[in-house]
Amino acid sequence: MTAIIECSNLTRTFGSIRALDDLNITIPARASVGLVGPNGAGKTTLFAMLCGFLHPGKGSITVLGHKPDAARLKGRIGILPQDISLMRGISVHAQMILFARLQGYNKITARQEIDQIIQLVNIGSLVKQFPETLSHGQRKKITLAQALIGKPDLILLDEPTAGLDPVAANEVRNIIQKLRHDHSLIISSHNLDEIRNVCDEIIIIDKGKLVRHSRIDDLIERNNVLTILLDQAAGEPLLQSIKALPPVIRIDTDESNPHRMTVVFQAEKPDQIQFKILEQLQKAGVGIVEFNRGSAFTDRVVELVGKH
Amino acid sequence: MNWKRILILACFDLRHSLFRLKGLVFLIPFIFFWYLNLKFLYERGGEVLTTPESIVIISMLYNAQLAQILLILYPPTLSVFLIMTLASTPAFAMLSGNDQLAGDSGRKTFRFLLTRCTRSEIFAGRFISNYLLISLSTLLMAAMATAISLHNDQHPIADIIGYAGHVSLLFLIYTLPFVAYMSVISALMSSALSALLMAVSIYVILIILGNYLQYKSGTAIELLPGGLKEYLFDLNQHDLYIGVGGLLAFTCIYICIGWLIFRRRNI
Repeated sequence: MTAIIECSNLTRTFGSIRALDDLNITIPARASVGLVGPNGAGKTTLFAMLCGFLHPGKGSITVLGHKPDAARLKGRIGILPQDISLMRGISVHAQMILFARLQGYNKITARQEIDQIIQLVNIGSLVKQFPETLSHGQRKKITLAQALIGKPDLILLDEPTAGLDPVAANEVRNIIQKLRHDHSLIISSHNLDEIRNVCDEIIIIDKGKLVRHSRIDDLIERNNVLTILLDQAAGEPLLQSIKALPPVIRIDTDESNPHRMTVVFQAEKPDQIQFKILEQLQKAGVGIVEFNRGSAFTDRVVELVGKH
Repeated sequence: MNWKRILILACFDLRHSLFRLKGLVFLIPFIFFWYLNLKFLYERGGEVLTTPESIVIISMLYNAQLAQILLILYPPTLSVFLIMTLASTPAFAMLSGNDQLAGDSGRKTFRFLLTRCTRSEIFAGRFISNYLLISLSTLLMAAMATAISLHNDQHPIADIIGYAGHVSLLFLIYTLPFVAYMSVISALMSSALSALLMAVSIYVILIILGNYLQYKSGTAIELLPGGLKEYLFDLNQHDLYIGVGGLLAFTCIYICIGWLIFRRRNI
């Protein structure tokens, strides 16, 4: 499969700070990729370099087979930048028409394209206004809408739901779900549930370095692990009783969250071990808040970043 | 470079400059300045401009021969309009061009354009829209000055129209390097106000430096296009060619510097 993005030995410094440090990434076409990492990890810098906003210090990047500032790439990438508003004093609609015209639409087809996107993102009531009069959430939806103009091959979303109320965030997630079938997506987010639900692959970076690039399914053990969140800390007798069950290999607990435990087992019929564990919990009089098959994705990501 | 995209960018920027702060910062003082001056030319120009006092004043600014040519041989209203245009162009270019690139670079709004067009197209589009803003505004004033000249001056209509065309062509060329100068400054800075202050500061420094070098070397050293305006009054054609050539050379140099800065700039 051809790669949409290839970064090789990518390094970018700002003064004494290394925002990206010898980063090597290859992302295949039609992938939905989550880009995660702590604040200051280099996610936004990477996005800015992929779009040609920043020049790479060292190393090379190709996006859709071209250098980021290549003329042939124009109109093929859509980006939702983090916390950047459209031009002030010009209506959202006028700016969106401009963007469509720059992408090759004529006056009539530009209006048709914008009307479709307005419907998709549900921003009909906002487009006649000036960007500076909109709330943070409304501006986010507008910037998402402009990223979709012209059906770009690659869409980069930098914190698409940050700062949104739950309803608006859910709307944006639904839009992203629709997009993933027709576009290559890269989503930078601190919301790992969002990444897990939308993306096939995850790239974890920290301090500008690549920590892990893998399929999400490869990262989380789905079959032989149970993650249980209890309503109280599990006592030693309870842990021992579960450990005594024949298929259980080990139990991992987290000191920072003693209510959570991860049970690793080896069984051909995982359902039976689930019932047995539930039985032990009932005997001990411990309530269950969450009971999930598979390891917690968040825990795995935190563990990987912590180890780095 | 895709010229269609450049024209779309230029037309969009020009249209919206008229109603936004970046355009109004230029347009309000520009209209006020020309309202006062054209009103004076209309009401009193006919009787005042050809008096010996006026010729003496212009002689002090340039020289006696030039003053007589401008105020007697040519229609005096248009000559005074040309002198005022050339004198005010640096100031108006700074007012109109300070936000050529600076504001959108600083606020990072160019990021929405840069996925759709190249840096060179943005640079060219902004340069053209800024040039059109200042030159179209001045052309409008030139049309009014021509009408006043037809009303006041005792010259044949064909001479007045011909001279108006000549004057318009001169200020269209004279404006170019100043717009290009502002593209350099605006590519360097991250806000319109800082670009304006920087433009004024560098301009003043270059004037002082030019005068100092001229004093030291004893020959005229032009560090700014403003020094070439005397060549534009066509006492002889050779001087006119030097003036126009010099202005175009300044334009090319400034555009190259501005582009080199903007090309490497993080947006």
